[in-house]
Amino acid sequence: MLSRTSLQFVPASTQVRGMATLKEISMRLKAVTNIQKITKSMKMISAAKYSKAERELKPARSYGVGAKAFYEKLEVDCEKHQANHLVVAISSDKGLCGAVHTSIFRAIRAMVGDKPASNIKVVAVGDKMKALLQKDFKNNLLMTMKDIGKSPPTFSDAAVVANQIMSCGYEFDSAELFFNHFRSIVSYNTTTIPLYSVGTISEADNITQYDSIDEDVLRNYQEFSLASLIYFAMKESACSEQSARMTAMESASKNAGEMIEKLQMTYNRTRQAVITRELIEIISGAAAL
Amino acid sequence: MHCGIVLPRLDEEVAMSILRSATKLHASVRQCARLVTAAQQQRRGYADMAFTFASPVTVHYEAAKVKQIDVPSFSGSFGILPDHVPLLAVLKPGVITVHEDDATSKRFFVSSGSVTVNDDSSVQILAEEAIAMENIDAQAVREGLNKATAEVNAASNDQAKAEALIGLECYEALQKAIEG
Amino acid sequence: MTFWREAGLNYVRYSQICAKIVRQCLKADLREAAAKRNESTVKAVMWKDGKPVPAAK
Repeated sequence: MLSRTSLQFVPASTQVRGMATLKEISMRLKAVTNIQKITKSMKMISAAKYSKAERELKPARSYGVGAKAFYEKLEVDCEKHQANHLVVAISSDKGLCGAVHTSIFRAIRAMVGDKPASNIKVVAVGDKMKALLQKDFKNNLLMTMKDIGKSPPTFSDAAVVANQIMSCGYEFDSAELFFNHFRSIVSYNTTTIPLYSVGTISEADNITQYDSIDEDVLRNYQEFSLASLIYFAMKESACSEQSARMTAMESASKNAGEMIEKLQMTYNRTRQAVITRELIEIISGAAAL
Repeated sequence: MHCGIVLPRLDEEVAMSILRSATKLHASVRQCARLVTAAQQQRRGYADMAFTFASPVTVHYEAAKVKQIDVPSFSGSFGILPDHVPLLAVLKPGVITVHEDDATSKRFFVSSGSVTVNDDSSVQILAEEAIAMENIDAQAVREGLNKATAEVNAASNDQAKAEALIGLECYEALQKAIEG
Repeated sequence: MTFWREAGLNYVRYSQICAKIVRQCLKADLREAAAKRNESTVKAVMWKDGKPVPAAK
């Protein structure tokens, strides 16, 4: 955030000219100090939120891994299912967190191409995701979700999203969840989880190994695993986002700190120069008498 | 099913019967495949069960080794032992009993969720809500049961009625769990 | 088919109803923290032909 604006702020010592500049510099100094205060407190807030998100991630992980295992083991012949595909992009409403949202957007664009076919529909979870997707993929948008990211996501949130996807009338054959998988405080991976409809699952090559499967059970199971996977993805994404925001705010504070140092130096030099010039003026004035 | 072969008119019937037997063959191949996997599982012998049981906010067991788990499902309660055949199921409100070993077992009340038994003998139970039996408030259950009964009678449309009935079933399961 | 499926509900909704009840039946000291899990903030907006559609309700 600050690195972009910092170019205008770089104090050049050649510009030092009298009182007006001195005032200007002190104003800039004040502004940058205020910004630093803000970024510092934002960092503190996101650090607290991050540690909470990380604590909550552990149960969500073992929760998600179970649901994921089934879909990843399922041998679905993707060539056969060129039919309806659903892309669910999971991020949040809030910005100032580095490339969290754009990296998901880029992954989606890499997958669907610049001009996605009409059998691909996109669900954007989070206002930031909507803002990115509505530029290029507005004709493929199926729905957008807002009001996510203020408080940590709950399973009820995931259930709402899953419910909406199921009841919107769009029948997908296969789906993919895009989200940021949290790795460590400084890194996250943009990953996807596959997901299939009941029809696709029952045609998979290795579904027969599961005992006594009927349509009802499979449907219930598929519905619940959709919600579980969305919950898992939301938790991962929330944790990645908070850690990214923390890192972003820390480097912003650091940048601001460097800028303050430079400005302070220029301010002192300018002040000294003003005093010297005034002295010279007085002395030479006295000498002229 | 399209073969992409142009057949003379006379042979059409023959071709159809071939096609039909081909689909039958496909089904029997699937059946065979299933038998083979079942046989493979038997051969593996007594493997350890990696049992994971979690709710969205708590992990009760993570890849733990347990003896047996009794699970409530729509088709009745059933037990999962190590080396169970791969299975998918969903939970209905009821008690999950985890037999950790011969002496100790723990009981949880689960609301709903999914059960997966994979072919590597790992078992995952994901419940939306799972609480230890001792944390159930008997008073709240009794009150809820009365309220739920009233709600079923008051429901005005099919959907509200179904929701109320689900609620009643859930309270009844809770009541049964406390008594039993 | 179960009665709730016939009434147009799905398993996720079924699960939500049951989970909410189980949370309400927790002992008083645990109930409050559990009640937070009932909450959800997410709202959906449907899109059609590249434009958001206002909610029909």
